[in-house]
Amino acid sequence: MLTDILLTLLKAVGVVLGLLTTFAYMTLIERRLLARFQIRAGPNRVGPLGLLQPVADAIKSIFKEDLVVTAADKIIFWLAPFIAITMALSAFGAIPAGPAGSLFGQDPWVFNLDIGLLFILATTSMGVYGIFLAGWSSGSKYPLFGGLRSSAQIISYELGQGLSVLGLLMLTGTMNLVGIVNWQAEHGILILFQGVAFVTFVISSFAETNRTPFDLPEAEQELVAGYLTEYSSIKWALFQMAEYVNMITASAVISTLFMGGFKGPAFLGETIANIPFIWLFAKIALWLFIFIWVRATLPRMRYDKLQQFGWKFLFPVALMNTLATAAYKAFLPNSSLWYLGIFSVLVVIAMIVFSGSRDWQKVDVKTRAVAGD
Amino acid sequence: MVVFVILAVLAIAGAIGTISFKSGIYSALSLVGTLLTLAMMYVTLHAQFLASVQVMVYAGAIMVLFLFVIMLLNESQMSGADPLPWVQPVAIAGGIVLAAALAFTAFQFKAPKNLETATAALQGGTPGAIGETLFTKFLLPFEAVSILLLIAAIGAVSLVHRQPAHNEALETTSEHATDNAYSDETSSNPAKVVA
Amino acid sequence: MNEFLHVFIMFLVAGGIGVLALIVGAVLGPKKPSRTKLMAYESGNDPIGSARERFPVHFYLVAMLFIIFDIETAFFYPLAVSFNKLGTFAFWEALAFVVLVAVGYFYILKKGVLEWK
Repeated sequence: MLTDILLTLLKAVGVVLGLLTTFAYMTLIERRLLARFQIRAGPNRVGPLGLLQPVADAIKSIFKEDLVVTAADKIIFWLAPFIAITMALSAFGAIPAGPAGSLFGQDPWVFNLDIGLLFILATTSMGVYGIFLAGWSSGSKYPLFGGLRSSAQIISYELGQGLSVLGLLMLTGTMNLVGIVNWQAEHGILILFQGVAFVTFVISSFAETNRTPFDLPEAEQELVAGYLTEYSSIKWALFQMAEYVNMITASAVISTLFMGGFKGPAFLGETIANIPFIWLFAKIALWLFIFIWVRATLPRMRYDKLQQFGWKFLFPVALMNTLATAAYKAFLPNSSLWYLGIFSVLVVIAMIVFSGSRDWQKVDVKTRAVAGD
Repeated sequence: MVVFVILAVLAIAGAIGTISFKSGIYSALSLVGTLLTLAMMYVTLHAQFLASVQVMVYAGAIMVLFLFVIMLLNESQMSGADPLPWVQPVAIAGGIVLAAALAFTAFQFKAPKNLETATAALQGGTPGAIGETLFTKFLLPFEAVSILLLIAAIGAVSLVHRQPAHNEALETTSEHATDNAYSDETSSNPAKVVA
Repeated sequence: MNEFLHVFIMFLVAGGIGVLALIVGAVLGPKKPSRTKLMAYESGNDPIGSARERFPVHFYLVAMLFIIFDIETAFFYPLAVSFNKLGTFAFWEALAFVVLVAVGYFYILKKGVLEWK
């Protein structure tokens, strides 16, 4: 019992420290990569290749003056970053990083719940409080609107995210993340059979983590720095941390649900595919790169379009995917999963064609006329 | 048992906070605390799915709406004279009756004979086990709930939403449109937009 | 059950990091407040009025619809997970449920609730 607690404590501390290190270097890698995308050098002065930049940033944010504006609600102003970081860090504990017993005879996860996927969705949904309370407690107008926009955005896309995984759950028959990974090891990775869910889930994840093209809460032309406007020093750093940790968790969840999780490709043989950590880390790194790539490529969406996209596009598509998977399970129970794969590919192509036709944006012109825009 | 006592004290503390804080936001946050402690209590009762849904739906969705509503009302509007003075005695009486009923049920409760089999069938309250029961034995209540939710959606829309009158709205000035966008139930005047 | 002890430990560690960071920041940071520094940011002007403003009712409506659809999704999870065991019958249940969701969805769509102004 006691050794169990100590081991878990050790693993939890390891996960948290790992996440914080990844966060620190993500900021550097992101700035360097964005610089590459924009044909400039990026931060390269502090240490070799700028490698000490995160350390410098950390020291700076710790020793900066911690301002709490007079109009702010003091207690909640402190509480908000705490909630944001706690929820962000805790969610990652549910991610399995290798097969059972592969970490020196221990399990390479902090906890393995039967409701693993729901746990992550529930914990990240609590993260909205951090942003909302930050906006409200600042006692300033820009943060209020930033926080409000952000919470409305997060809850809207939470629906798309929740609905996307239903089809996947029908196939796997379990919410246990290790179970989902093992199902994929047996039948093939789910991105093949749940392509539509994959697309909707990834888009919602981008919106949930407030990343471009959905980084409206921090639209600096409209809202200065959104809910972060009145925050400085370590509290500001905690929000940044929470945002990046959420991004890492989102990458890990996408990898686990759709790309085989901690398992490597089967053609390399069982032993290599079962090596813990490296496969999951490689997949997370790939997704983090995609997050940065998207940020460098796509412009920000307008807020009304963002809401319409979530409600009018993601929601019905995810619902239809659920129904299609249900129909497949009910009427073609023992046939090849590849039917679903072909179906997914066709729907994804249709989605791309349809989004190009801009049909779903048509109503938009009218509403703009109403607003006298 | 120790866990239960701690959780119970926390839940009650949150509930007391909910009714005693002056500020609406603090009350709402205390309620979030109570709801989260309840979720933890569900976990101790092997109701995992219920616990996660409690967090997602109550703490994650309903309380966000509450916070929106509290912000929608000006905080200054909430102080002042009690608009419904008769509510307090009725509420106290209702609370006493409820407490008595709960105490009565608690002391009368006898575990069903096949408690072990029932517990085993629930498999720690996993979604799979819940699904099998919910969609066979309790199918009718489930479908009734989905109709109830449909009605709730319609109710929400008709309560809050002012439909922009189609053609007229296009011709209204931007001033009217903005007015509509920032109005709420109490202050909006639908006729103004249509006119 | 034991797994939830691990969850609790994870929350403790994560929360501990948050508290630690806040304390370290509060202790080590300089404290030289001035009126201008502690003023809410309003593009350099003195703030006008309170920031606890009323906001568009639309946000409220979105939150309300979110609750309704979120509950519907929550009901769907057990159905999805136990789909294998329930068989074809589950499809008709899912269909009935989706149809009801869709009716509500098209209602709010036609009412123009999802148009943002």
